[in-house]
Amino acid sequence: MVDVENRGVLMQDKNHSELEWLAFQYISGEMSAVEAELFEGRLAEDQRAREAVARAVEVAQVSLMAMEHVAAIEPARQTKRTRSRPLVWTLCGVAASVAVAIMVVPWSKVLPKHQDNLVHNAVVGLETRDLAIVWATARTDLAAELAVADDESLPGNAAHDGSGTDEIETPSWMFIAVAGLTGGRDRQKPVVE
Amino acid sequence: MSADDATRIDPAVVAALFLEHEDELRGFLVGVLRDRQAASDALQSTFAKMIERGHEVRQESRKAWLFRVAFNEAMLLRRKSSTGERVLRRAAWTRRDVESASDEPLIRYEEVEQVRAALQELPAEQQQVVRMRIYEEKTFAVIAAELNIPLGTALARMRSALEKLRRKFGRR
Repeated sequence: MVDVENRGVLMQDKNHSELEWLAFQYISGEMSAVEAELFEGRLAEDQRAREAVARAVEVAQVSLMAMEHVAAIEPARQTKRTRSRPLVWTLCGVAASVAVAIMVVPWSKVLPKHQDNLVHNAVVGLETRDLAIVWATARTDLAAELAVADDESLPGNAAHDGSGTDEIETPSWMFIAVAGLTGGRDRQKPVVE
Repeated sequence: MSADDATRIDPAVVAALFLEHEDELRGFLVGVLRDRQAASDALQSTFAKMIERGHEVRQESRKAWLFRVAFNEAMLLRRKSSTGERVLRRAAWTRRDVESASDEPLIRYEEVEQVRAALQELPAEQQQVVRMRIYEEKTFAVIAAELNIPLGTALARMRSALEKLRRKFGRR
């Protein structure tokens, strides 16, 4: 008795599953003209078939919305990541250029002698601060925008050690640049305000 | 004889029936007509008929009656527009239609999230076929050719995926 009942339930499930699949084929335009005509003959009489068609449309439309949603998010993530890299490289490049310019330009020859020391110190202080601000900005932007840090492509990034925090180290060239600015007197890290 | 007035169904009853069955009826009509505007037209005609003849319908049979009338209205529309077989080759969903449907009630968001999670749980090969059929709107023949698999395999993967999606859909 139980076996007959279970078989009955299984047959119903199989018929239900078959009907749902037929409904999907119908609404997706995958039936031949003859098959579609036969199925429409069933739709004229069978309420279960009509409800199966309604369900098939709903599943297809909601699935499409779900995939549209995913497609909308993924390019945005890609764009943010690729947009951030040029920004960071640009900022690093500017900082490096400033540092090189300061080291190369003989300020004592450019400036009048009596103003040399005062202006030189002011320029050094200003440029040190500028370098620090540029680097701090790059760090902040990078940390805020990237979901996942690409450690190999950015200068000075700490290796991801799985500790759960991605610290961005100040690169060694920055220290060298700052040391060059201050004539080696200031060996401290740039102050970031 | 229904419980309503002998010659006229109560408009409040019709309104309640509309609220209860509109989504399902509209989905059914889109499935038959493959066009949202035509489906809306057929839906309006169906409920016009309900107002006119609903008093003849037993309460427990109203849903089935609505669906049968909706089907007849859809067939009438199709014959009038003489699009016939061309319509049947079109899918019942398009990305354009879904974009215009995105303003529908907030409850849709939960359904979308349910299905999105269900899609991610599918085996990769089933996800691929679902994406190619529904999102990229490729036929199963084209999918089979591009993936270099038999047509039957493509259909089987889609069928399995749909069964899993329907189970996760919540209402069924």
